[in-house]
Amino acid sequence: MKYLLLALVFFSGLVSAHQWTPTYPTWDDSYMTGIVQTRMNLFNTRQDVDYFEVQVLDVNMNPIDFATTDQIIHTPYLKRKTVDIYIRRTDIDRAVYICSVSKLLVAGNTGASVSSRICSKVKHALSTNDITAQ
Amino acid sequence: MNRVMMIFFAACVIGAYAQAAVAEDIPIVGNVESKCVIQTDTTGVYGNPTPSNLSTDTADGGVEPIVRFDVAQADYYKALISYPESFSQSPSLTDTVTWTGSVSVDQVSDTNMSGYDTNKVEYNNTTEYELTVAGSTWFAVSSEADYGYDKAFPGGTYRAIVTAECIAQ
Repeated sequence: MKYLLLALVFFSGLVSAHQWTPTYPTWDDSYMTGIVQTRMNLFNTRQDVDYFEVQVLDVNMNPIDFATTDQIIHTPYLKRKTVDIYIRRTDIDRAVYICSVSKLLVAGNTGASVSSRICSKVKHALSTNDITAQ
Repeated sequence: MNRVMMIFFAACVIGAYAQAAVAEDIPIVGNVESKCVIQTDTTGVYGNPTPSNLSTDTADGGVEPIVRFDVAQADYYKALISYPESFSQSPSLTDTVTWTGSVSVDQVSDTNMSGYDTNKVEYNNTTEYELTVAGSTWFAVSSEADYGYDKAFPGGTYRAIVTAECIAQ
């Protein structure tokens, strides 16, 4: 035990966060037939994270096929990024959540130890009551 | 004629200066919209009270990490916080690690949030909170790892990841 040297790191780093808006995006027609698109905004206030992953998920959090310019988005600290997301029109009813997930380095020197995921809910996926309540 | 030209030129110069002196309105535009912000508020540290145990408990020499959720509008989001069930970085481990943990409200910015812990839902390693009040909520995450049957953890760096999620409702 006396020779045991443990560098015990669970969390380290500064106060940090990320933002993903709008909360309730909507699908709009794209320039391609059979494809719809929406636009999301990412704001990185996490000093310990530079990369974020985009996910499009169904109601059970299962992935749905989508396209975007970069599935892993490079967004440095205090930078904003606009992300256009495209899905097939036939998937509109299935696509419920659009999420951004911070990507951490497994053994990096940044000490990032909180994975943050923020999910917006596609507006058509809301019930009539939810839409009225807004 | 030259005099007329001079007056005209002077008028143009004065006009130009006058134009430059007009103040311009520079707008600053902002939108208040529903959004959720997840903040890592406090650094967490594992203490090593016994050779086979790593714990964030203060009594064990650890520090519990604090994650803060800021929501701009009530009832738009729910928070899901999961304590770790594996190391993201560690020396080679040959035996099993038993993980335990919990999540609880540490501080609130609004007294109406006092019921969050009562109404939380726990499953597996995840705790779910309905964010029914606008403002900030601080959640403390405790984590403990036991190695084998009282087996000593090998020396090295241990890192684990807490997942904090904010899901629109």
